[in-house]
Amino acid sequence: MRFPRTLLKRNRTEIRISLYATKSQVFIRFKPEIQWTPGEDIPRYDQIRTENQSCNWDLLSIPIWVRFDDSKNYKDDYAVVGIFLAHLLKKESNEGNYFWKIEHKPLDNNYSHCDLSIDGSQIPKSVKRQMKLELKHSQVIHFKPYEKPDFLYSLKERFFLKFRKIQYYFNKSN
Amino acid sequence: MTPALNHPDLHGLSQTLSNFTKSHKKLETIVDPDQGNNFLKKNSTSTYKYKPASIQERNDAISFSESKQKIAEFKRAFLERNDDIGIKCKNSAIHIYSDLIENKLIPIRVSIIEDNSLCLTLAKSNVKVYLEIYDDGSMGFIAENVSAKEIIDNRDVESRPELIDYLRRYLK
Repeated sequence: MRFPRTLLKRNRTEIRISLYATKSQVFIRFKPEIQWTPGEDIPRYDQIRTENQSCNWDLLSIPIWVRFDDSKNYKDDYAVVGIFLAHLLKKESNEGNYFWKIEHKPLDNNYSHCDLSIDGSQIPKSVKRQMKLELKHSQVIHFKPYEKPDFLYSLKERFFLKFRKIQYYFNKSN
Repeated sequence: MTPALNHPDLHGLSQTLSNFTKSHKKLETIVDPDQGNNFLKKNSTSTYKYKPASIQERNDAISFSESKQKIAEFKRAFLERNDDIGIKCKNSAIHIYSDLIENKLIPIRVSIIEDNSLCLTLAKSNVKVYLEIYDDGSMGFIAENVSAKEIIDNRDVESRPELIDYLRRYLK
């Protein structure tokens, strides 16, 4: 797969995600054998991070692009998982209200790059465990390792991406 | 005395060997399985107590050596190679792992997670338990129903017996 030029940061600045409706999704990749074992759930609980979990934002990326690494190499052996922000931002714990915080942190070769972390300090360990497992339960698998997109996939997803951008700028202007 | 041991320097050694052989023969007589029980009955004050091992005991001995092997593998694979994991975490992990093996709760995976902690995954049919051992030696677990995608239990535990009780509840 060719590296999409729209992923390049160029001179663009970061966007405040809170401005955007929580209908959007983030995409996370998981490496097989290390971060995912055949026959088991994706993602594995022990591979979910509560701090600085890298992901791609669906306002600026389609799911399959998360397979591109920092050097623009396409890694077809990675599983691609999607998580809806609505599932993350509204989670509440029995021990208080803790939320996942998502920050847009563009990289030179990945403008859609975001960091996902639990908001706050001194977060109880039981809360971290609960939020990790809830994140695991809320995921949608887009691609299993080595699964290839079909012929129309990129075309279709690029169309949806344009639509999401229009929707975003429309919401922002209102 | 054997010709090879006729040398004067080896005389003492040959004497020792000869004594050892005699005592060893005595020992063999004592530990003859057919006479063992009778011997014990007659010589209850003897320091050498022989009792033929039952099949159960032999099996226990094998599983004990297997569990020792598993613990050694665990030490070698996860604790000795990873300097990032703190001493408290390592000590806790060894004790917990030993307890798990003793209770036949075999982790399907051990992995290093964020904050230099360890995560032991245990599974039984539809239930998965993720046991986390933290850098300060403390521990906690979360149990899920895999197919229903539900959290069954999530708690910090103070002691190893308490932890084993909970794990047995969810995994037996």
